[in-house]
Amino acid sequence: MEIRNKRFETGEETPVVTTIVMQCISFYLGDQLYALGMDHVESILFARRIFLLPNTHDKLLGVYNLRGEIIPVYSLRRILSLPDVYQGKRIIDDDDRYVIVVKYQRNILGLMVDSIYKHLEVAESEYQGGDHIAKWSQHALISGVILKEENEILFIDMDKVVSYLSSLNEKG
Amino acid sequence: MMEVISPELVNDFMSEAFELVQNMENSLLSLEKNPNDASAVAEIFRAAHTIKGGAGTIGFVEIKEFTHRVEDLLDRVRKGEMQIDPSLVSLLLEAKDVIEEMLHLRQQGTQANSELYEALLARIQGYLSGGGSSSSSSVMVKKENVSPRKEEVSLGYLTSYERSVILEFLKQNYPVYELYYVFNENYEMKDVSAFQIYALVGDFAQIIRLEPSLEVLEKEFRPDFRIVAMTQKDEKFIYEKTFMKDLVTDLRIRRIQQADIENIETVMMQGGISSGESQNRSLSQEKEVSPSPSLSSVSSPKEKTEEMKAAPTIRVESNRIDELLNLVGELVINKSLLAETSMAMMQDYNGIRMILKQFIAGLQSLQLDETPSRNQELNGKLRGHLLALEKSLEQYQDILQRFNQISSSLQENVTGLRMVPIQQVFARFPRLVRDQAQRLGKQVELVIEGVETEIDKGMVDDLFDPLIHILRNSIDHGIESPEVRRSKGKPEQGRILIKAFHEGENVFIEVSDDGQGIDIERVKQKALEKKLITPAMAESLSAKELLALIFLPGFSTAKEITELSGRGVGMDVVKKKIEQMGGSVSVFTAKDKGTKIQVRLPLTLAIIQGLHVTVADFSYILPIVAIDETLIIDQKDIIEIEGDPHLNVRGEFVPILFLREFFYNEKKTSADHMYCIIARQGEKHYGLVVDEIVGEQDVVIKPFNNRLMKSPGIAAGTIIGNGNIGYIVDLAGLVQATRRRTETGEGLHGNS
Repeated sequence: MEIRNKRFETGEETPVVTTIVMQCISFYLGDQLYALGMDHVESILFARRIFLLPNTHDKLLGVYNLRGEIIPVYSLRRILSLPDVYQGKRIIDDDDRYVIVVKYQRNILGLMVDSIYKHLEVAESEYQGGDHIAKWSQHALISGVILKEENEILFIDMDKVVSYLSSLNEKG
Repeated sequence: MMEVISPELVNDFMSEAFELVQNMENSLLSLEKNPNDASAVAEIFRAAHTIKGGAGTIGFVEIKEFTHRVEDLLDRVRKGEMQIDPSLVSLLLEAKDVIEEMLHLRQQGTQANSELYEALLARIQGYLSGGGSSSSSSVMVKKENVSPRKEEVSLGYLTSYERSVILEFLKQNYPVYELYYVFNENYEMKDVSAFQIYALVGDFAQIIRLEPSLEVLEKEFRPDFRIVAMTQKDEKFIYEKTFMKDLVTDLRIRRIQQADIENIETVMMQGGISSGESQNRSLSQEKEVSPSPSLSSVSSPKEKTEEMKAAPTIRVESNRIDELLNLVGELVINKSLLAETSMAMMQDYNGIRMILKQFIAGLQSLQLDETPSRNQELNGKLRGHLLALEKSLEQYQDILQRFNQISSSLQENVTGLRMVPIQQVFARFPRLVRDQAQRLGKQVELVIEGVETEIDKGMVDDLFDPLIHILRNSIDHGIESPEVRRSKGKPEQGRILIKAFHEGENVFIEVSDDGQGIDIERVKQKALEKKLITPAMAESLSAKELLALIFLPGFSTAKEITELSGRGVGMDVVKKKIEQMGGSVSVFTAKDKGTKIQVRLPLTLAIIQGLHVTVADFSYILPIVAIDETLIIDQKDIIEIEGDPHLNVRGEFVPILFLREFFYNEKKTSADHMYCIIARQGEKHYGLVVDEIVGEQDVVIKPFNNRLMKSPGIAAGTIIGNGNIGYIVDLAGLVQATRRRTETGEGLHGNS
């Protein structure tokens, strides 16, 4: 990714080659489409039986029993400063929403999203990254935009999400 | 090249290599005590040799090359060409440190740069070109023809035909082994040792290659040789069949993997990694100097290691054991649910019987005579069924009891799989104690007992720091200098005893020294200086209470950072760490007699006995070990002391924590009949008010990912029946967080 970003920054012209560079899972928060790199995605679950963990920050919806392992589940809406219906709820049981289970480095965590759109194969020519995109999207956790099928899909940087979440945890 | 190396291979190498460097260190230390210990030399050599081979196989070139030089040096020692002296031991210890560091760096995915080892390498080189080399320079030339280049790569001596044969076998799932024999150089008929082994192996295996070849072996005695062979027999069989004690001093059996062969080919394609090394290599192959007499007296320690090697073991990834433990955990949960159901059934049965009795009694007194025969008939049937039910219930109880026994011993066994000998923690102590004592000019003998005591794998890492700190205290402050000891009439050499043992459901580790003991007056002074206690308190505290002050945060000072621990942890941190593991620490001391620090730990970190309670409909587990009693209290029993609620428990005013308020910010309502659980935290008691008590339960601890989930007062999670999540209460954290809240005068915000 970094290499690609650099090229966009320097404005270097390269012939358009439609090679697949990223496998993504795309999903909705409201009307906006977002995407995550497929290589981090472990599984997708219904948002069921998420138990509030007391005295923690509000991005953390609670904990979930993933086949015997207890993992944290976050509201991606709250992470991206979007409104969320679960404020103050102690046990979340919602078949209409989904949790994407992500394994990033050694951390396993769930991100709750509104609904799943589909699996995407993104070609190099369809992706735009770089600092100016991050600024344009007004959110440091977005690292680029995928322009595909007339959709603008915001690409989420898991590295930044995980370090953001662990910084919140330190404070809490 | 990295592509061909599987991560498992690297992991296997790493875990083995770390064990080996540890063996190396232990043997070096025993060599320091007894320079004639030939078995220690052999052990060190073997460790270096194996690390070298393994590192070569997976392409850790810098480790291979460095270890290679060390091996050369050791080879000279092994052959008696070089004398063991303290400076050589120190050099080898440093070399071991470098190897360990290189391994750590590789584990982190980086590679040591040459600054780390160049200076040391030069010193090793100095040793090599110094003592003993002049007499053997002629030998070096003679040996050049033994194709030393190929030996650089493990299995590098195989021809391409042989490699293809091996690959063919492996593809058909026939195991191929490399057997490495080191011969006893003192055996009278050593010249035919290789042929005897060759014949033995040939009996059950198809030999693919001998290295060196029979022709070479015919001409001269070689101290070691390798056989590559295909056999369906397992390692144990090979070992038992061919390890002839008279002939052979060491046998290493390695199962060859496809990756090994492919790896050789990659290395060879890159032109090998051996150019320019043939000279050094030949040094290790000089063998015409007769071995020193000290080598001949290898007997008792050797046999011991043989026995240990013979016990067959398998390596299992630890998370597979954890998965097993998860399943057992669910079984345990179901066991308690079954027990509950059984209780309920018994109650219902008894209820039915009682009511039936009343009913029948009622029938008779009413004298219902409409259809007495019909009544009697029904009555009889009912009795029959009831009797049958009673029998079934009894049987069910029996089965349940057996099921309990089985699941308990299953739990015990699986938990046992997580247990490792405490030696893993203790192994580095001799070196650290030696270094620290030397630095301070003290003489300390470290005695370690109970190394075989098993502890939970999860404790190994967490236990190291606290124990090192305790040891450091003993050396720094406990053991006196030789002069002082002499003047006190004690032997100049101080003695520290580390002892580990099991007792009941606990593991005990005791560190005792024969030093000056802890001066309680000085503890009092220091605590006053640091304003940890008031002068009035100082007068009223008992000796035992004064001694406990050393565990207070802020008692140790930062200037006590020494090289040994690397950071300045005080006894408060020691205590905290041990308590985090569910244990406790106590101190015993006597002036000029010494000090004993006793660490008590639970047997396992994986499963605890807990009291299952509910708070706002959530399940919470309180560790049974901390619980003294459960009381039912009313609002009027609560006494406010300085604004905080307390309970008078037989004269002791115990602070009360309302868990509903703490976790869910729900103000307490003036309720009666509240369940209050009296729990111990350190020396103090606390009362925890909960909503309901469900019962005692064994629960499997599910640690939280600390980077992402941290909730004050909650130590970990667990899975209660039905897959629901319960929280395991961390009493120390709960008390701390409550204190902090009272001080800042606010509740925590956010999720509640």
